Amino acid sequence: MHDRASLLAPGLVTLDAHLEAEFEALLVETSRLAFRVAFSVLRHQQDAEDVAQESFAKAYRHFGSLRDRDRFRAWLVRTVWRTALDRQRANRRRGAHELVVEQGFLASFSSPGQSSPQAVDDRTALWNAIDALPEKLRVAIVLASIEGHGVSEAAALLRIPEGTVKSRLFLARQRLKEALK
Amino acid sequence: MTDQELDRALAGAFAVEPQADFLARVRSEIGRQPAPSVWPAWRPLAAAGAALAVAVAAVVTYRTEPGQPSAPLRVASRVEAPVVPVPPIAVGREAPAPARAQARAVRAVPLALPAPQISPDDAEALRYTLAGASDGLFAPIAARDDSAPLAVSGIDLAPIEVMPLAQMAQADSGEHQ
Repeated sequence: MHDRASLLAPGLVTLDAHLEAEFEALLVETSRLAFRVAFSVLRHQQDAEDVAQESFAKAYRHFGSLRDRDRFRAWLVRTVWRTALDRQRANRRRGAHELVVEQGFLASFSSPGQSSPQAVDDRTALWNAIDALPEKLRVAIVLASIEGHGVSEAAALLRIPEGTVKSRLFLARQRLKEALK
Repeated sequence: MTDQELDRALAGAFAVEPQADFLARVRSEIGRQPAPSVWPAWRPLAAAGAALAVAVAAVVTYRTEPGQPSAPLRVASRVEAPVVPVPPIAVGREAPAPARAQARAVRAVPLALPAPQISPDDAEALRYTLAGASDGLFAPIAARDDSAPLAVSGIDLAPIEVMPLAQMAQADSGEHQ
C-alpha cells in the first residue's frame, strides 16, 4: 500500500500518503468491530473475515467521502451488516453452510471454564434467540454488545435517536430473557 | 435470567477475534484497489455545474447593457416598404428647413403602400390651387340639391316633310337630264 505512494510524483506523495495513513489508522481501529458485526450475522469465521475484508476494500475506494471518523464507522457497520446479510442469503441458497451455530468453533472462542458442553449449549441457545429477533432489534443488541458500546455510540452507528436505541434494546433484552428462561 | 447474566452471555458471545493474519489480508486486498480519490464522487459534478452557471451568468451579463432592460424580440409581421421622403408643399407659408423635413420623414410611420409619385407640373398646379384657396380666391361651391326635380324646357323642332318615293325618283331623273 505504501509502495504505491512512493511511486507517485513528489507533489502527490504527501497527499496520497496522508490518505493512506488515515485509512490505516481507521482500519486498525475498526477491524475487530467489522469482523464481529459480520460474525454476528454469519457465525462463521472465514465468511465473517471475507465480508469484513470486502467492506474495507469498498470503504477504501470511497474514502474521499469517509474521512470523518464517525462517518467512517457508521458507514462501515451498515456496509458490513448488509454485505453479511447478502452472504447469508447466498449461503442459504447454496446450502453451503448450516445456520446452526458451529459448536466446536464457538467452543474455541470461549474462555476457560465456558467450553463445557453446558456452556456451548447456552451459547447456542443465545445465538438462536438473537437470530429470532427482528432485524431492527437484532442490530441494536449486537452493536450495544460489541466492544461495550453504549446507547449513544450505537445510536451514532445506526444514525437513529438514542431514545429509539433504548426502546429497541429494552425490547430485545426482554425477548432474549424470555427465550433463555 | 437476570440482566447481569444476560450481559455476561452477550459479552461472551461476541468475544470473537479474527485470525492473526486478518489485517495483513485486508491490507493486501486494499493494495489491489485503485487509489482513493481525495474528492468525493459528487464534488466534480458540483464543480462542473457551478462553472456552467458562472459561464451562463457571464454571457447574460455581457449581452445586457447595464441600466437598460433587454430588448424584446421583434418578429416581423409584415414587409415594410422603404420610406421615401416627399418634398413638403408650402401652403402660404415658408417651407420647413430641409433638416426638419428630413427628420420628420425619418420619424414618419412606415406605410404599407409606396409613396405617391407626383410630377413637378402637377405639384406646382396643386401648390397654386391650395395657395389660392387659402387666400379666398375661390368662391365656395354651393351644394347641389339632388332631391329637387330637374326642370326640362321644350325644344322647338321644324316639322319634317316626307316625299313619296315616285316623286323622289322623278326629281332624281330631272336632275340627270
